[in-house]
Amino acid sequence: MRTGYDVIVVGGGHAGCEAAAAAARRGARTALVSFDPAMIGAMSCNPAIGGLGKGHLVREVDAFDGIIARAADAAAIHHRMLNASKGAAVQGPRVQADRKLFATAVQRILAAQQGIEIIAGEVSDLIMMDTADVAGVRLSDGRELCASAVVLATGTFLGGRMFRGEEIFEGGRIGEQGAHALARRLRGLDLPIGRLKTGTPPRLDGRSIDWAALELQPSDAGAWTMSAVGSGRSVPQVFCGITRTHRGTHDIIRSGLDRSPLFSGAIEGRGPRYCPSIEDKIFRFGDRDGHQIFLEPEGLSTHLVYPNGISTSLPVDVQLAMLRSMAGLERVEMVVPGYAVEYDYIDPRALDATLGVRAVSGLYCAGQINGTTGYEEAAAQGLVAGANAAAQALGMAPLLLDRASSYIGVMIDDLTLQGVTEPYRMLTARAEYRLHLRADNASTRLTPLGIELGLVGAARRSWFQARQRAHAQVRGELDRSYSASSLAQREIAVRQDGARRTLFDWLRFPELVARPDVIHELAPSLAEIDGDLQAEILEDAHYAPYLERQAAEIAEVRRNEAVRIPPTFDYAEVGGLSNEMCEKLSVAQPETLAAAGRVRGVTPAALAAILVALRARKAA
Amino acid sequence: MIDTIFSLSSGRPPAGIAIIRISGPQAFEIHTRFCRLNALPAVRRAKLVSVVDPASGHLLDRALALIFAGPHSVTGEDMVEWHCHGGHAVVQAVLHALRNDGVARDAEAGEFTRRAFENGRIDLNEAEGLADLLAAETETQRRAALAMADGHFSRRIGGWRSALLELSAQVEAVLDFSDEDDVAEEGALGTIASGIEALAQEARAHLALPSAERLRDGIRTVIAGPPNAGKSTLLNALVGREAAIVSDIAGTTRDRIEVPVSMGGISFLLTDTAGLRDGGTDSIEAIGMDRARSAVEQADIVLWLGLPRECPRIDAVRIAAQCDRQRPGRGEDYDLLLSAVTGEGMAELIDRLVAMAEDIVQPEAEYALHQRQRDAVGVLCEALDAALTTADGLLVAENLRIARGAMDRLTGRAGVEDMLDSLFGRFCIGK
Repeated sequence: MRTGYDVIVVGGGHAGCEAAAAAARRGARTALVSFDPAMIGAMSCNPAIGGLGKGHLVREVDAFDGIIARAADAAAIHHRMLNASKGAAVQGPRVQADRKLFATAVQRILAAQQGIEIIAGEVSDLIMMDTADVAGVRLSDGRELCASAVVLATGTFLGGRMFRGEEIFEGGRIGEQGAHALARRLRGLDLPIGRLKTGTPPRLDGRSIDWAALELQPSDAGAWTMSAVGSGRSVPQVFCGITRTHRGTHDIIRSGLDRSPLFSGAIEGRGPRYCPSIEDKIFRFGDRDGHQIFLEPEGLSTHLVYPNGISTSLPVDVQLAMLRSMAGLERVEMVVPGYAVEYDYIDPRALDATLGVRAVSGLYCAGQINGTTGYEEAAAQGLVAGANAAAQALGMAPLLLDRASSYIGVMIDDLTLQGVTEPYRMLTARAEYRLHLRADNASTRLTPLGIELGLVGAARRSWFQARQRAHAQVRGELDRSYSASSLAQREIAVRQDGARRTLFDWLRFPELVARPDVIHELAPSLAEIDGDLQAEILEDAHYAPYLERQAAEIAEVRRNEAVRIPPTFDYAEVGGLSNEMCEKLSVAQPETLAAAGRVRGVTPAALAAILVALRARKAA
Repeated sequence: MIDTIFSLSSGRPPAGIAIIRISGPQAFEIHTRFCRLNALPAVRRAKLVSVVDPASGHLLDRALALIFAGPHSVTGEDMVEWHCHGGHAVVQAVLHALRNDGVARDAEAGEFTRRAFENGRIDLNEAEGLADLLAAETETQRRAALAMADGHFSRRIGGWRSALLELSAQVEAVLDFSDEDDVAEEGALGTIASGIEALAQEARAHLALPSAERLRDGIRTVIAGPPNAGKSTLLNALVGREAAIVSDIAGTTRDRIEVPVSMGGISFLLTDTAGLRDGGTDSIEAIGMDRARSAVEQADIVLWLGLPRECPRIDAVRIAAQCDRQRPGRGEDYDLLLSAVTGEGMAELIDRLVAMAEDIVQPEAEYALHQRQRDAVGVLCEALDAALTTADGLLVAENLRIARGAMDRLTGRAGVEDMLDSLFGRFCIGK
């Protein structure tokens, strides 16, 4: 039996759900295939969404009318704005989400989206037209699903294998099978495949924790939400607890290192530096006398608690001893022990900027299969892969994002040019245009493109248009000029340099920023717009000179983007490139000279040589 | 297709040895054909060959040949060197035969260096240093150019870049991770600021270095004074004695004569100016005097031949010229008594000029910076200063990024990943 679709998405995690929803929003008939549809929208690890860098990704996916922010709001039981004391560009909204509420919300949003069919089954094979064109998938029960484009969002399931002490289990998540047939099939396609590892901490029974002995962290006051179109906070808020490891804990961990699969050599894949296991932390930074551990409730209707900061694959007895050495956990019961999971990933340098596999037409990849870690990174790639799979199937314009536009663009550029040596996590430090790429202005940056590509639904479209009108009105008021003396009449002690500046320019001066009453008097509509837009405009004013400088820098980079490198270009023929440079460039296949310059280790001298070779080739 | 080039790479004949270089894809073919070899000899091994004109069959010279296979050659291409006898006739005959042969062409000025750069054998700083070295005419120029070509400055930039990466890593740690309790925020910004200050001091010192253009073009030395004070005589005496005329450059204006000379291993550009006097009447003379005044203002060293009390610059050397004709009056405060005719005071003047010039070019300084390099170091200084005047960690990070960009433009790109490597090597971060 064969059934036809435009797009098939394999996997129902954060990447797969966004991919299916994005493809369907663009009008593609979409099938979402999952081992177990009841598990769609599951959070495999940390019950939290957002954070530094990651919060930016969530807001960007939301700007394209994606799922993750809305689902997080529906499930948020604890809100925290990380870096609240620092500039908006590095503030990271983060919520803890009730697992059940989150998955329910995701499933509800998918069900409400027209054009998505959810199919239970294991994808065991790809149907190929010839060796370089995918035509659909085959399920292990023999069913065949045809489509012009396929998105693989297999998470840790592709060739997944779990480790805990000396124990090894096959599977992608505890209690769930892995996708081994598909893994073998992909290896047969001659794609560059490697292994990565990640881990998760044990889950605790909250009733066995002595909360009274712990420092408690309340949810942020305030009303911010993850989605720009959120309807406010609807779920009761809970406290988190904070405990610490200490020398005694570290001694227990050290005593178990010889039984850890990380150190015995059982795990070949590399783990994330940004999210190291506790045994890694102790091994590499043994001089630290303690590490903070956040005890995060997993939901309102469960007693499970997630101890954030203690991911581990030590043997079960060592895990329990380690936990019980910490304050408040002396009598803790462990419900599920922590474990490490190792899985297949495709070297993302085999992908182009659409997240399509260069060598196989119609095949797209998103999430951990591309070497990333994190729900937010996965969701963002899902959005891009889904939107582009639909574009391929329906002959529409692709969704292409560059480093100057978004964190999503930064991530895709990093992945497709540099590849990964460990699971890739977003950090604000990765974005060179960080002052511009803020969580608060994601809608301004990206929603117009989303509307143009048909990714944004009617409700958000009209919300955004109203917001744009408000923005324009406020800017009109801010563009009026005032002299230093006219501010002095309002008892604002700016230097009397005789200059006239627009109100927007004056907003860079702390003397005026300290006087919101005057700001609102001179720009009355600023007081009437919503807080997010207000914050965005004030931040733009504050960093205006730097933003202008970055705009000039971006223009320069875009000029170099105009020098295209044909895919058939042979780096081995360029004199003077080291073997290492040659290899990196050949694998990454940068599409432009500017992209070649971003490949790590490529020097300006090498770029000059490439440019000369390109010109010689043109002349020939 | 890249063509093959040749040129005489040693000094102008006649000389003991003349080195003719051939570089490019056809270099080995030319070598085997001109030397009638059946096979290509071993690379990097000197071999005696007979260079024969393939057109006429005439022996041109017996030469020592060295071959280098690209990319392991100075140009990065296949390259042949013929060490010929250095007579005029031999060199011309070999070059003529190569030209006639038509497979290779005469290299343009600097083309070997340009190929070396384009093939990634040297970076831009080294290329600039090499160009200076080839053009160096004085000892100071030679040393500065050699240091540059050797990569001293590139290494210095490398050091700065590591320091910037380290500082960026510390700022990013505070920005991205302080909320996760793994990085202490208190005191971190202070440590970072003192690191930035140290780097800024070093960069500022580099901006104070003499410019390469100054070394190359010479210390601007202006002879000024009233008409008929003996300025031209002094110029001629300086050029004719102890000094070597390097080349004649016509004055850019009729009223200013510029002559480059080398004294004590340092280049000088001597300028004779129109006489300065008050109340000049005709307009052409007025223009000449304006130019003389601006020359005096821009000069590195001024030799003043008028009355000391009329001296236009306090740091000028006040000279009583023509002391053979009239001894200076009492109460006039001259630095030096001089007669270009008898030679009295000339040796003293030259010593004095060399000492002053050494203060300006700082011969102990390893190298001199080109305008492009000075611009980048200028951006570095500005960005570091801006980073020091803000308490906003975001702007400190942004300014360090701008500083890294300036260094990247000088040598090569250090990616964000390099910074992250530095970050994660030092801190225990993340959950």
